[in-house]
Amino acid sequence: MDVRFTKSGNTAILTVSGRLDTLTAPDFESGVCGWIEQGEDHIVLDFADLEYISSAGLRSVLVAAKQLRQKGGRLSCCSMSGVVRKVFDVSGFSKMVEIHDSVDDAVSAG
Amino acid sequence: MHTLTIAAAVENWPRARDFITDCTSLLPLSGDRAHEIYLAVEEAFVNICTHAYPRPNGHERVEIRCNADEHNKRISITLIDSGLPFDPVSAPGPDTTSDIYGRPVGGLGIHLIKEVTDELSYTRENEANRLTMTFKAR
Repeated sequence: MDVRFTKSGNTAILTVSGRLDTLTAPDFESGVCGWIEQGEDHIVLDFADLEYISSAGLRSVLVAAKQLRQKGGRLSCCSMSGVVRKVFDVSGFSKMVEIHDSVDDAVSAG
Repeated sequence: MHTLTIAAAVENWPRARDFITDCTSLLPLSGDRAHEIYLAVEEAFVNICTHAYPRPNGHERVEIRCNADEHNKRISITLIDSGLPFDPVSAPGPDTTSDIYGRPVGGLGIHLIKEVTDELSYTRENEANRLTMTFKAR
């Protein structure tokens, strides 16, 4: 699992690749929460290159989304496909977390 | 039938995943279906590692049995542990409709297992939990 940080205007884009599972989710969570603590208040999680997510990964996304909401910020996810999209859909996360088809859509929605 | 017996520790998840990959390599599986199988096994394995043995003494084990039926294109995976009795099949599901504040963190693993398996059965035999997950290859 790797996370790449880029900025587009006021939006932080975190491009996550590889697997978000029980072993990698803690690193992902501490990375995202670190950026939130540094003041990022609009975060887009780009999952185009994320091949796999389990409930441990969902948990980390939820922790980040809750932290950001408490600070009045926003978190959205984009470019999900395959099993990642399915996991978001069947868990009900697709209805709770802002979802966009592309990074451009997610950034401009802000 | 292939069998892997490993310590019940989340750090062993990659070994369990590699075992499943090896056992299912002869079946025609799409990448998405393979990921669904990993998902169910990860959720069941991690549940055992984190909940089955509340007073660990370093000897806790999980046995994973994998039977890939090439003729019927079905994969059957059984996880066996000697921990506390726990029946995931009859466990109540999480509320997947509550909003982001109302939702507890976690509790989704069993729900995901039920979503991606074609059959799911649980028995308690000889003081061991046996959870069998069956997947049609596609």
